[in-house]
Amino acid sequence: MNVRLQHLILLLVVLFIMPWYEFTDGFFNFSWLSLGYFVAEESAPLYFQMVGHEKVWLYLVSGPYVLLALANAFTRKLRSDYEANIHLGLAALGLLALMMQGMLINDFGPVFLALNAFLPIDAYQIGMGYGALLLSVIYIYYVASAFAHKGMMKGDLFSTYALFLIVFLVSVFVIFPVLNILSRAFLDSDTGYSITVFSERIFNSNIWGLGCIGIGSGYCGVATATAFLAVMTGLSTTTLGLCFALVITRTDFKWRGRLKALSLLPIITPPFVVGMALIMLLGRSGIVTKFIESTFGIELGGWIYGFWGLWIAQTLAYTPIAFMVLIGVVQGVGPSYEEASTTLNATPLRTFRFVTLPLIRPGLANAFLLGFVESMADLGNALLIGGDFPVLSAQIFYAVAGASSSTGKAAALVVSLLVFTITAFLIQRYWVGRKTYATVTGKGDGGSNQSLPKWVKNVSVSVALFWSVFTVSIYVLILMSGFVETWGSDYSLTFKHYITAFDFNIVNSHLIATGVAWDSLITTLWLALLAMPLTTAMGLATGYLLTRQNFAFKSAFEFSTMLSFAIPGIVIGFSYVVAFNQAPIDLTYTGIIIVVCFMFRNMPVGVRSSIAALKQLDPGLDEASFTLGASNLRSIRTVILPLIKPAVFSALVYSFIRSITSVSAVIFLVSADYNLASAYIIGLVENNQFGVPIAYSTTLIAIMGIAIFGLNQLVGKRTLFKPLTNGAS
Amino acid sequence: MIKTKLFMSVLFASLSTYTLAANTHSMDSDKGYLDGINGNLVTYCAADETACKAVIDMFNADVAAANSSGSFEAKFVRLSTSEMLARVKGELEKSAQAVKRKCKDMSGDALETCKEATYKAKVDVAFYGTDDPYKASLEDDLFSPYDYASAGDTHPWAADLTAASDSRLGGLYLGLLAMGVNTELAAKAGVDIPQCWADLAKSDYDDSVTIANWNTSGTAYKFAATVLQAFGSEEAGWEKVIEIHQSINQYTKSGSAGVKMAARGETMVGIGFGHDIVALMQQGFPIELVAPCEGVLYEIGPVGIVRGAPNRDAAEAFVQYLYEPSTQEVLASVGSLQFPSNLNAAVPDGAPAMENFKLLVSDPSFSEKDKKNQIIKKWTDEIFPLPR
Repeated sequence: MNVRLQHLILLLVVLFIMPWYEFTDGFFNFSWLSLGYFVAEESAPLYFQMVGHEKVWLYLVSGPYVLLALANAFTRKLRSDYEANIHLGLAALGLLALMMQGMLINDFGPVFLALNAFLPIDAYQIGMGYGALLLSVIYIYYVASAFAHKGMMKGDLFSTYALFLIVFLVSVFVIFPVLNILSRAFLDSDTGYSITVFSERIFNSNIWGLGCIGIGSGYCGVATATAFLAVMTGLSTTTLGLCFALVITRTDFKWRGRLKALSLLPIITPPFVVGMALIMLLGRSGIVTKFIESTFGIELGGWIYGFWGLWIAQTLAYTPIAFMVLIGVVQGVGPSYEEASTTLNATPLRTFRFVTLPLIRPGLANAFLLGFVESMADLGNALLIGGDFPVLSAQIFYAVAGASSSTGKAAALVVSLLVFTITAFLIQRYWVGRKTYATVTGKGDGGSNQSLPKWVKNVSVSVALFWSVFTVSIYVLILMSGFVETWGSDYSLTFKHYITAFDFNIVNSHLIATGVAWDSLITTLWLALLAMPLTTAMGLATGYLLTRQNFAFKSAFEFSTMLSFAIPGIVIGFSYVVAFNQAPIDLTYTGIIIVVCFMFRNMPVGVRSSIAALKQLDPGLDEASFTLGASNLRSIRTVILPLIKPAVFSALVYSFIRSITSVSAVIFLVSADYNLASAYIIGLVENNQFGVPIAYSTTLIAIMGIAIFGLNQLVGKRTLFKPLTNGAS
Repeated sequence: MIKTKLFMSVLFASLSTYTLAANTHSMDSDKGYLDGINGNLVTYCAADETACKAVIDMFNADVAAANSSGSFEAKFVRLSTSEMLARVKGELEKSAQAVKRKCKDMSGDALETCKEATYKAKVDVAFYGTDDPYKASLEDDLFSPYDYASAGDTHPWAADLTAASDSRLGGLYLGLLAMGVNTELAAKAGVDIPQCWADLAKSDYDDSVTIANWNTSGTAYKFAATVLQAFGSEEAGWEKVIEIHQSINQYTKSGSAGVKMAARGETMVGIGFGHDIVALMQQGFPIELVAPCEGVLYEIGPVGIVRGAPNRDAAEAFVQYLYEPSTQEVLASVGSLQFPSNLNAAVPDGAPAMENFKLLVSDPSFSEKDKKNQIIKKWTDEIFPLPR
C-alpha cells in the first residue's frame, strides 16, 4: 500500500477509532466498536476525549502527531538533517507530553493543586489504554526514523526502531517502577528525603560486616554472606554445567541423550519442590539421615538448614542454566582451531587448555554471571531451607512483607544487592569483552572437533554421573511422595492427591473440571505461552543490537536490560503494585500485568544467550548478506537466526519455564481471575499440605517436559560442523 | 531498657464469657441482607486455601439462593497476612497521596467523608489471618469504619478488637499459642515433655526448639509478647528470651513451620498455635499439645473493609455473613479448629481444651507499631546474633 496513505489511515485510527483510555470491559471482545462506546467517556477515542470530555491537555499530546502525520503524508521524503531535526523535535515533544500528562493528572485529579489553574473543574483521567499505547509506538517510530535519517546505526531504520522501542518499554516497565521503589531508600516518613537516612541504612555492619573472617568484630553482614554463597553457587554451577556440556558434545558416552534430559530436569521444577525434596532426603528425619544415623550411629542433626542446604539446592536449581549457556558455546567452537593445534603437535590436554577453554571463555563468564545473579536473587530456597543463614533476598522479603515491614529498609537492601550485580556485570564485561571469539566465519570450516584429553573426559563423566544419581534420587522421591497418604506418618499408597487436583466429570457430554488445580493451571499456561514469543523476540533483538550495532550509552542500555534480573522478584512485584495500580498505567488485577512481569523478568536470559551465540558468529556473515543487497531484516531472518537456533530455543524454553515456576515476583500480581499455579501451590505448602502440591508440581514438570520436547522438534537443531568421528587425533 | 508499666491481668479460662455456648444448633440471623446485592466482591483471604474457598463458595451459594437475578460473584486471593497487608498498602498508596492533597486541613467527620469520597481500591474485604499485622497496619489507615457490633453477638475478645481498632476491624475467631512436642523424639532423647516456657531454657532441650523468625512472623511476635509479659517484668522476659535462644535450632520464616517440623520429626518442640497442633494430631503425627504453665496470649482472626472498596454494599453483607454461626462453624469442617467469635457458634470437636490454658491479656502497647518495631529490632540486633 502507498506509504503516504498508511500515515493518514493510522492518523484516523488513532484519533477516531481506538479507545484512548483503558477499557474495563476488555479490549478483545471489540464491544468498543459499537456506536455508543465512541461517545462514552471511558471508551471514547482521542478526538472525542478532547472535544467531548474536556480532556484539554490531550491537545498537547495529539497536536505534534497530527502535524507529523500530515507532513509525512503530504510532503516529500526527509532530505536534510534540518527537516529530520524538526520531525525529531515534534515527536519528542509529543512523547514527552504523553508521559507528563499521565504522571501529572490521575484518577484523583492533578498531582499539584497549582495545575488546577490551567484545567477545567474536576479534571481527572483513568489509566491509559490501547489508543495511548498505539500513539506511543507511533511517536517512537517517528523519533527512530528521524535518527536513522541522521545516520544512526548506518541509517538502519529497523535497528533504530527496535532500539528505541526496547528503551521505551524497559524505561516504563523496569526503570520507572524500580527507581520509584529505590528512591524510598532516601525517604524517612517523618523527615522526608535525605542522604543521611540513606547512608545510615546502607553503611551498616549488619549488611557489610566482615566479623566472620576476623575483620572487625561480631558476625558477618548479610551482604557479605550472600556474596560468598553466590560466588560458590556460580562456581559450582559453571563447573557442573561445563562437565555436562563436554560430556554431551565431545564424548561418545553411552547415555548422552538421557544425561541431557536429566540435566534439564531441575530447570522445569518449581523451586520449592527441590528444597522440599532435600528436606525429605537430608533433613533431621530425612531418609538418608535416618539411614546414616541407624547404620553408623552418627548424629547428623539439621546441617541442611543453612549454607549447605542453600548451596546444594541452588546448585541443583541453576546448573541447567549454566549448561544451557555452555552447550551452545561448546558446540560453536570451530574445529579448525583445534585441528590446527593438534596438527602442530600439541597434546589433547594442551589443545584443550590453550585453544578450547579460551574459546569458550565468554560462555564460562556468562554462565558464572547467571549463576551468581540467580543465587543472589533466589528467594524460594532461602525461605525454605536457608535456616538462619542470612541472605539479602530473604531480608528484602521480610522488609517488604514481614512483621515489621519498611520499604525504606527494603530499598536500601536492594541497593546493596545491586552493588554486587553491577560489579559482577562489569567484571564479566571487562574479562570477556577484550578478545574476539568468532569461530563460525562462514569460510567453510571443514574439520571435526577434537576429542577431549583423557582425564578431562574422565572427570567430566564421573562428575556428571554422580550429579545425575543425586538428581534422579531426588526426583524419584518427589514422584513417590505424590502417591502416599501423608509423607512422614502414613505411607499407604493413594491417588487421592491427583484426584483432588485434577478431577473432572462429564455431564451431558460436556467436560466439567472439578479438580482444584484446573483454574490456576489453565491461566498459568495461557499467560506463559503469551509471554514466551514476546520475551524471546525482545531478548534476541536486544542481543542483536548489543553485538551488531554501535550507539551511544550502549553499556547503560545493556545494564538496564539486565536490571530486572538482578532485582529480587518480590521487589519487582511490589514495585508493580505501587506503579501500575492507578493512572497513568492501571494494570492491577489483569492478566497483562502478569505477562509484562514475565517478559521483563525473563528477557535477560534471552539477551545473554543470544549475545553468547552472536559473539561466535563472524559479523562478516551478515555483512556479506547486506552487501549482496539483502535488507537487515532479511539478513537476520535468513542468515543469523538459523545460525543461532540453539539460543532461540533456549530463550523460548527458558521464558516459558521461568514464567511457570516463578513465585516471588507474581505473589503480589495474582488476582482472583488470574491465579497462577506457583502462587497456588505455595499457599498450600505454607499450610502443611504436601500431597496436592507435589501432585500438582509433578504434573507441571511433565507439562514443561513435553513443551521442551515439542519446541525442540519445532525449532530443530543447528548443524555447524561434521559430527565427531572416531580417531580424529 | 525502657520500663513499661505492665498492665497485666491474668484471666483464667473458666471465666464464663470465655466458655462457649453448649448448644450445637447454630442460630443464624435472617439472611435477608443477602437479597439485592449485586456486582462482584473481591477479597483477600489469609487463612488456608481450603478454608477461604469453603466460606466463599458457601457465600456465593447463599447469595444465589436469596437473589433472583443471580449475577453476583464473590472471589478471593489467598495471601499470608503480612503479604496481604503489604499489598493493600501498595494498592492504596496513590489514594493516600490524593487524600493528603484533597483532605488537608480537615478533621473529624469532614475528614472521614472526604476520605470515603477519595479512596479508590479494587479489593473490598481483607479477612482471616492473624491480628498483629492488622493492628500494626491501622496506622496506615487501610480500613473503613464499620458497625461490627451489629453483625452478631460476640465474645468480648472480638468486641475488644473492634473497640481497640476504632471500629476498623472485626474479630472472627481465636487461636491459642502453645507448644507442639514430638513425643517420639522426646522419648528417644530421654527427656520429659516440657510443661512451661521456662522449661525450654533447660539443657535437655538444647538444639531442639523451633520458632519463627521475629521479623517475619506474627506467631513469633505473639511468642515474644507472651514471654515478655509472662515473667513479671519485661527485663525478666528478655532474660528468658536469651536463655531460650540457647535451645533454638532454627528460626523459620513461617509461623506455622515450627509445629509442622515437630510433627514430621524435624525438631522436638515447635511453637505455634493450638489449633494447628490439634489438626496435626488428627492427621496422625506423633505430636502432643502443651499449654505452657506461665500462660499464653491468643490471636484473633480479623476482618476489615478496605478503604474505597468498589462494592461497599456487598462488602458489608459479606462481613455480616462472616459473623453468622453457620459460616464460622464451616471452618471446622475443613480442619481449621479455632474458636469462633459468635456466641451462638459451636466450638469445633477436637479444638484445644480452653480450660487447660491460662490466658494472659496483653498490654495494648505491644500492638503499637513503634513498640513492636523496637522489640523486633532489639531481638534482631542483640539476641539473634548471640551464639547458641
